[in-house]
Amino acid sequence: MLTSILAALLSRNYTFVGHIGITGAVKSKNNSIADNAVLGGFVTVMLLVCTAVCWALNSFVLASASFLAVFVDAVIVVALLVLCKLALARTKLAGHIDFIAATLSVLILCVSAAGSDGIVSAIVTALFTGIGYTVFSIVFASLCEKLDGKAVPAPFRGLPIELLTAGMIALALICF
Amino acid sequence: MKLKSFLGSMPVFLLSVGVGFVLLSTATVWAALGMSASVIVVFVLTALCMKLVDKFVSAEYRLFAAMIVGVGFSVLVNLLMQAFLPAVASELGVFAAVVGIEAANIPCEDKDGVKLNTVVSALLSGVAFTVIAVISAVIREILGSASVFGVKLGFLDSFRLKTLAGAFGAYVVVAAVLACFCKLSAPKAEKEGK
Repeated sequence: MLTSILAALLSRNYTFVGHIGITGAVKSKNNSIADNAVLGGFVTVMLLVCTAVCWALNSFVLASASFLAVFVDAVIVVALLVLCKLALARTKLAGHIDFIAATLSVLILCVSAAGSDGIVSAIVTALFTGIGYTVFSIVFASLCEKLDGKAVPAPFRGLPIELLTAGMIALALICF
Repeated sequence: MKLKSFLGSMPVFLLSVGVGFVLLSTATVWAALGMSASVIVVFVLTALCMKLVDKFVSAEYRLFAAMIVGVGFSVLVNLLMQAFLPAVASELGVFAAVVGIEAANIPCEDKDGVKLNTVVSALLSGVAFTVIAVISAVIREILGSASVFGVKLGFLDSFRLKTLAGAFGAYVVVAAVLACFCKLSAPKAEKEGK
């Protein structure tokens, strides 16, 4: 169990080492630390709920029709996101739902689809993937904030230098 | 749309397709070609389909509808790949089946404010993805794995950079390729450092 916790959090971090959801981290780099933490928390909760629902569906309903699993999981993720959009319509988080839907649902879907070693393992992986995303997207945003635009060669400004920064984080995580 | 403007808009198009998918599919040239074909087909079909049902879906929920339609098409394309290109399908795994979700991000306007048809945007996003993914994959496969299209290049074996074959290598190569495109698209005065 400890191995899968450390793997989800560090050496096989879905976002930075696995590249899933990196678009979300890049797009949220301009948010404040608090906003990124709230966003990360929301993604973690979504991951947990979607993983539990998708695991149950994949194991009991779609066991004999596995080719439909990804599509059904996607419908579940989108349905939950629509429910969240309705529930959070008048809160501060409402503006972030479209962002989560557009960029992080792939992360949610991949983690949900990967949980085949039992519900406990799937939930633990989902929880620590969410925590890993939250912590390292905050680290990534803080690093991007410290990049001095003028010190970066013109062609590397913007996405290229952000990718190199993410690469440095990936390199640090792989060492674990 | 001019070529220079298109090259300059590469990062915008790449963000709309999802940088993660570009990074994921650059491990081998076959994976890059398979994912690129999948992205172009899924994005264009999703854009066409959304154009047809646009009147019946409210703007507020268009994104969610596009996600479902996109995943539907990408699952179909993935099943076809499993039937006819099983090696490429197994290399891409579940990622080829979920790329359709990103079709919801197809940009409606380009960088210079020129209004683009969403089908054209989808096609341009797919082409941008293909160009960057294939160039990055060729570089990573030759320098990182000393092979090209899966064929081993024995004379390069002792010179290969194993780091380029890993996760870090994907970031470095894609960033370098993007920087080259940005340099090519920069105005002449900027290139000369004026």
